[in-house]
Amino acid sequence: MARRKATNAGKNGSGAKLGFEEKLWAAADKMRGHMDAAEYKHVALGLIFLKYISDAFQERYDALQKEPHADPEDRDEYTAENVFWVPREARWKALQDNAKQADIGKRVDLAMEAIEKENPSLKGVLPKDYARPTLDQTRLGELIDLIGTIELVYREDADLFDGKRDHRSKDLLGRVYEYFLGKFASAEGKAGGEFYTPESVVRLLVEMIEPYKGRVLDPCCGSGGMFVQSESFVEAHGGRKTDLSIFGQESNPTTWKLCRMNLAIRGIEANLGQVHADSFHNDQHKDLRADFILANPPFNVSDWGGDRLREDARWQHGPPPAGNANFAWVQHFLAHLGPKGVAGFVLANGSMSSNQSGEGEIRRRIVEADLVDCMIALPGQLFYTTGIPACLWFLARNKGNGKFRDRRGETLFIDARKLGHLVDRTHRELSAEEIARIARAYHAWRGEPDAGHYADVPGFCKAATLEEIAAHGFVLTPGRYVGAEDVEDDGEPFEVKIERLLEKLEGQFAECQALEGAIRDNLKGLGNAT
Amino acid sequence: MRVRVGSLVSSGKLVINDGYRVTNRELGSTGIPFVRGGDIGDGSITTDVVDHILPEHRDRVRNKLTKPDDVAFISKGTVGRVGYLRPDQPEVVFAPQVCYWRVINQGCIHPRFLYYMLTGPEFQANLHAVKTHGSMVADYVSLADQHAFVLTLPPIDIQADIGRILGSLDDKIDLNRRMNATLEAIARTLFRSWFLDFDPVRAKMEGRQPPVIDSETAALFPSSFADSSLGPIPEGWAVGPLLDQAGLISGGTPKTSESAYWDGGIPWASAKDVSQCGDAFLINTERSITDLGLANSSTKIIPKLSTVVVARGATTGRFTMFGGDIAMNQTCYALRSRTGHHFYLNSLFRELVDDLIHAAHGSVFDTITTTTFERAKVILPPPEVQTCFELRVSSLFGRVLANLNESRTLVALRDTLLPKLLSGEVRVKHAEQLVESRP
Repeated sequence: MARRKATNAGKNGSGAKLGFEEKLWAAADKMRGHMDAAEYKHVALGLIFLKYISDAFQERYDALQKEPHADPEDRDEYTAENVFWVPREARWKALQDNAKQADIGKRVDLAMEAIEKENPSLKGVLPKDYARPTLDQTRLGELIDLIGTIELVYREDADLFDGKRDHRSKDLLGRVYEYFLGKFASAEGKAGGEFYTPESVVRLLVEMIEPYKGRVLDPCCGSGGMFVQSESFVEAHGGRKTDLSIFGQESNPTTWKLCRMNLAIRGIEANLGQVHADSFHNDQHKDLRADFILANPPFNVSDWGGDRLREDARWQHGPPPAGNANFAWVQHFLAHLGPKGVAGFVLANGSMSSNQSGEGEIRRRIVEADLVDCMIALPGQLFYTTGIPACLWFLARNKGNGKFRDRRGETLFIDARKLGHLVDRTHRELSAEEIARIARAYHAWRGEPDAGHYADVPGFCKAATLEEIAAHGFVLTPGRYVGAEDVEDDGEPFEVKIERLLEKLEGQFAECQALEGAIRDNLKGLGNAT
Repeated sequence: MRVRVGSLVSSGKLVINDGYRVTNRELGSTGIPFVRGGDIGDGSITTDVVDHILPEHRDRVRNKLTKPDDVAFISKGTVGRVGYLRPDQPEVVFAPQVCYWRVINQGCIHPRFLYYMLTGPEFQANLHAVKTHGSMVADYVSLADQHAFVLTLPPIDIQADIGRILGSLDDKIDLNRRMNATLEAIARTLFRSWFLDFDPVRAKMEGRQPPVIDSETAALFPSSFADSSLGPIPEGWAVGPLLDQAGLISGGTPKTSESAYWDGGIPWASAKDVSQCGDAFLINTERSITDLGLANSSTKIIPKLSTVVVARGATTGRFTMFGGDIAMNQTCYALRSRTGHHFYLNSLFRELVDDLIHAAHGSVFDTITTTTFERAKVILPPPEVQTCFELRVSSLFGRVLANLNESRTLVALRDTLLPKLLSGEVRVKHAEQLVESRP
């Protein structure tokens, strides 16, 4: 397929580029010196967060000053508007004024502490080690100056944006945050993918399951990308943020904090559990039955402590192997799926066909329980963690619940391996049109009224029955079902085409004779140099 | 005449330029082809590329436009590969890793001679001498470096003779390539008409005379269809396992640590040989083994005209036909027709291979296994129809193979003559030839 232009992809995606993120990233990245990307991530993202809540505060502050009889220093005025209260010493201006001071790190730490103290919901979330000796304080000051320019850029380019100011600036910072998250994932390489799922994959998951209203769960939520996209999906379809209740869990403590900051910036309220915790051993939402589950669990985790969990109510379809967590995740999702719930998640390709350690048996039982709604094979190179191609699973608790067409005994297979375009040498992305094409096939098959009529497309999608899946030994790789693409017929009738080819051949025979003669003549002219 | 390249440039006889540092937003699917180092092959330049400089940016790349008759070579990376933009090709823009040379004064330099000179030992030695070696950065030869090269330029009439002699060999190689494409297209069109679209059956069903074929051939086809597990098929035809039609042969690798097994007289094909063979036949392998290596390993001699397919790895499904008796690596499988209809089998496999790869879509890498072949079902026309097809296409395939072998000889001839002609060791008896060729 033809390579698409990177700029077009940006325009079409919701991750529209603002034009200056790259500059900001380059400048910020230059400053990181000898620091590890993983470490530097927390330094930069913490500051962007600080800048964000300080800006939001300042905006409210300015508004209150104009209001008669209002006291801009009254904290209730802020909490009422869902704006974090920022104490004087923690406001961005105070920090930027002192950016050149040798003790700037200490000042940032104090600001973070003060904000946490004033806003219990942020307790224990913000990074507070800016004064550590290994962090170059001059560079830190430069970084603060740089992040301080985000607002300036917004003003210069004010014409580019329309809508209300508060909405714009919030979105601007949010997008910069998201952009940096993605860039860090890319810069960290293998490890970076753990806290970040590429936007086009998240968008595909969200567009597929359409979380309009209800409870959304991601039990391995990373930095919270699934929630951000779910919220924007609701808003894009005219809903309100409060239509969704969000539940998440994350075992990595720093990622858990990152997620809370990410959601705070977006103004998204979420229950991320009391603490960062492992979903298998310390489920933070034990009794939750979700309407939507979205997840990108780490691939093929071998040390998930499965040997300590041989007996568990979640393993309805058989105990998952101790050496691979894939089917532990699948069954964890199923255990949390409400009566009309749909789960969409990413897994390594092996999950579709493996027969080791009882995985084939679990898969067979899940298929026989008629839970598999749709399977998608993805192109390679979509993820930062691995070049190995992955797939998407969609499970539905009840395919005949009346919400959509009764599709019991049927599963939709989509082979998207040929889609996507390279955005750099090693990373691929799905375009907005491609995401829409895949989701439309699923929605049409589910019988959604606006999605049009469903039809199998050889090489792309195929609705298969349970019998067909059984005939394939319960292997769920879409390629086996959708078959090969119809070879494009050039439309030229046989008799015309063969006539044309034979004529061409005669011409080439004639050319052949002429050339043979020329070569003979030419070689005759060769002799020894004397 | 020994001449510094810089002086040719400063006297306006030659122009040297490098490629264009393109930005993503200037690229699209229409406009001026944007050609990268990888598109420069052995002497040829592929201009049928994915990326194009969009028409609206044409002005910006005006002074980087490369025209037919220009000679281009890779100046950064795998330095040295040279290509000649043929007169029937469009104007292109090169990537920054590619430099091009253009003759301005054809009375002084012959363009096609220039191409051969750039592939020749003197120019390549110049490149080799100045390119950066073995460090972390890619090999690189700058424009300034190129200006400092000193080259031997024979008189213009000698240049023209050399360009014409070597050019006629390359023209024939190119013609062979084009003719093979035509021959293969004819065979494929016939196969699809008879065995996929069932044109003769359809025509007879509608009471028409089947197109293009004689009445004797037409009599071999029925005039109605019957249902089968593979959809409607001509009445009297059957559906059966592929492996009833063809035997499956696997390969092997003699111990590589045993030098007595290698570099013998038996060509030995690796998956790379098969996957990189863009032709209908594989006639040449990178490595070879000895009789001892053959005897002491599981590799076997795969007989000529077997269809061979790569079964594992990124190139799974690439296939070709062996143009001779060749031993084979275990990454490939060979299919051998049980009825001697080798070209029928090969044509059948071409239409089947996409389905095989799809069925093979495995957990990590696509892999074709014996089970994949065992499961494959095909339509079985009666033997006399297969024989009829085989007879018709065997001369086409035969010519394809002959052309490939001829091109191999022509390449050897060209590569032998080139250094001798450039050095003047072998000379064209110019005057004598002029007399001879006069009518």
